[in-house]
Parts: sequence; C-alpha cells; structure tokens
Amino acid sequence: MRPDDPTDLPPDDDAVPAPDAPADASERARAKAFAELIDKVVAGRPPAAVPSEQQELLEVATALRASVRPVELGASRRSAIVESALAAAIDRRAGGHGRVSASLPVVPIGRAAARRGARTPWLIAATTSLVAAAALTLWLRDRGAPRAAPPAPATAAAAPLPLELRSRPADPLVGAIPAERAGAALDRIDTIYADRLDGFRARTMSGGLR
Amino acid sequence: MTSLSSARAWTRLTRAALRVLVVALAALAACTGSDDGRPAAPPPGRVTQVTQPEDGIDQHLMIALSQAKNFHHKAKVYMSDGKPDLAIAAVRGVLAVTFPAGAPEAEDVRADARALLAKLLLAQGQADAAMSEIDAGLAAATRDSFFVANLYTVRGEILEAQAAKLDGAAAPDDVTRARELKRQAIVAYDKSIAINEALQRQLMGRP
Repeated sequence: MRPDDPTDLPPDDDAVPAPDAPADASERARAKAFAELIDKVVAGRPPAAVPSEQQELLEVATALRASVRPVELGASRRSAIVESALAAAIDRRAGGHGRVSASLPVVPIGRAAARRGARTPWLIAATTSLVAAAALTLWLRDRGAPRAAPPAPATAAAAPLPLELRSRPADPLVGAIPAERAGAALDRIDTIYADRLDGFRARTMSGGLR
Repeated sequence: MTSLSSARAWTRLTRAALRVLVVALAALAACTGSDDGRPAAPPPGRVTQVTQPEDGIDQHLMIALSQAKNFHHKAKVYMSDGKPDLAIAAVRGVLAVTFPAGAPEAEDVRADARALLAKLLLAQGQADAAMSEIDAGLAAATRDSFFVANLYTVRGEILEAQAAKLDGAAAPDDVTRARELKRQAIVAYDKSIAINEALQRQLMGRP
C-alpha cells in the first residue's frame, strides 16, 4: 500500500494489492505459507483444517496444476487398477456383482511377469538336462550293444541271365529229328557245342564270368 | 538399480542355458543319426552284385560238351574205318561224361548218344541190347524233348526190325509175335510223332 494511493483504502489483509505494487513482508509471508500448503496437498499430506479462503485458493491451484500437468499413476498403482478391473470382469462373468471373488486367485500382473521371467532359465535348464540325459543314454546303449556286422552287399541277382547265356534244353536249337537223321548225333552235338560256345564267349567277354 | 541388475543377470543366464540346450540337441542328433558308426546304406545300384547263376553257361558245361563231341567224332572215325565195336565203345564214352548237375544239355546229349548207340547195336544184330539202351534213355528222361522223341523213333526201328525177322516164319507163335512187334513199333512211332508235334506247338507259342 502506497501512502499516496488515491483510493486511500484502509489497510486490509483481504485487500487485493495492485498488480504492479511491490510485495510487502506480510504478503510474502502469506504467499510462502500458501505455497507450503500446496506442497503438502500435492504430496498427499493435506492439513486437517484449512481456512475457507485458502480452501478456495487451494482448489483453484489444484485445478490449475492438473490442467497443465496430467497426473501419471505409478506402475504399482496402474497394475492394481488393471487387476481390480480384470478381477471385477471375471467376477461378473462368474455371476458376481462386480466384486472380486474370493475363490478366484488373482495374481498381480507385475508379479506374474516377474515370476515368468524368473522361471525361464530354469525351464531351459531342465529341458537341456533332459536332452543331455537322452543323448547320454543313447550313446551308452550303442556302446553296450554288440556291433553288428556291416551289411553284406545285396547278393540277389538283379536280373536273370539272357537266354543265350544260360544252360538250357537244346530242343529249339536242334528241332524235330527226322527218322532218317536219327543216328546223326555227331551233327547235333556239333551244333549244340557251337551254340553254347558262343554263349560262353559272350558271357566271358561281358565280364559276367571270371 | 538392484532390480535392473537382477534382470540383466537373468537374461545372461537364459542365453547361456539356450546355448547349452543347442549343444545338447546337437549331441542328441549325432547319437541318433550316427548309428554306431556303422556304414550307411550304400546307394542303390552300387553294391548289387550280379550272381553267378548255376544255370549259366560255364567252363564245366563247355568241357563236358567238348568231351561228348570228341567221343562222337571218335566213333565216326571208327565207323568209317570199319570198326563198329570201337565205335560203340566210343559212344559209350559219351554216357560217361560228367556234366554240371542239372544241366539240361546233359539229358539231351545222353539221350542222343543212346539213340546212336542203339542204332549201332541194332546194326550189329544186337536188337535186345539196342532196346535196353532205348529203355535206359527213356527211363532217364525227365521231360519230353526231340531227343526223347528220337528214342521212340529208334525204338520203333528196333521193333520193326525184330518183326521183320519173323515175317518169313511159319510158326503161328512167330506170326503172332511179329504182329505184336509191328503193333508196338507203330505205337513207338506214334509216340515220337506226338512228342514232336507237342514240342513244335510249344516252340511256336501255340497251345
């Protein structure tokens, strides 16, 4: 308050100082006390009782702070809200009325993820152990088993010999023997021998006979 | 800070466990796939060995045929030299040739030798000995063949020759005997004809 103020208002704590007026000591003290009050409210430690004029200011300050800086929930708080919503949904499907059923074990999301993460190495280690045990068992079994002889080459004939390379009746070669040739055995043995010699040579030349 | 270090430690542990798991799986695959070091099955077509079939023309068969051939030539020389006894002995040598077991040529060659032997014996007037050779040849036959048919033909010739000897006889028994021999000769020729026809149909592929 300046002494040469034309309004000449009496000093009043509730009076609103002029915008450009320098703050005096009492105004600074009141501002400091209000700032401490806001800090306590923001920190979650509001005072038990607040003067009505300060209550209004406090609400305005809280609204302003919320408008310029959205509130971010902590991870635990977020998980708790989601879990409670899930539990409520489960409970509703089970016929409840939106409250978490006591019979349904609800595992907190964060804890479940942490539990999975903690189990993974142990699961892998268990699987590895089983595989190693199987490999060891197979190895020991094969060592203990008597060694089988290497498979013999297949000895089945791939195909029968051609007819001309086989020992066979001489009927097709000789044909019917007329009566006047009944004693011509020499001619027939010559024919048979010549034919079989051809077959024998063919078989020898082809490498089928050693 | 502590939870971050713990998470990193778990991650490292997980990666290490995964590496060990991969190694163990590889070992397991090796154990199941190696088959105890036994050689793997060779590719088909590489180890198949064509067998030496017993019915293939081999050296033993050729030696036997060569011996039979030589005995026949020897008999021809003896016959041309007027030595029928030596010729008969040479033909008997054919019957003594050892052929490979089961060789079809053996039966054919022996039957043909017996037919020739019977004709030589018949020419020497030994009709009964000739018939014995024919009977022995027919008894040894395991299948019909042109050589068996030829044995029946020679059998008919022997019977015909025996009947011809009785043609001039006046005794009623000889007449009856001659008639019976001729009948048997016809039966033998018919048998030879039947065998030949059946074999020719078979060789021509007709039923």
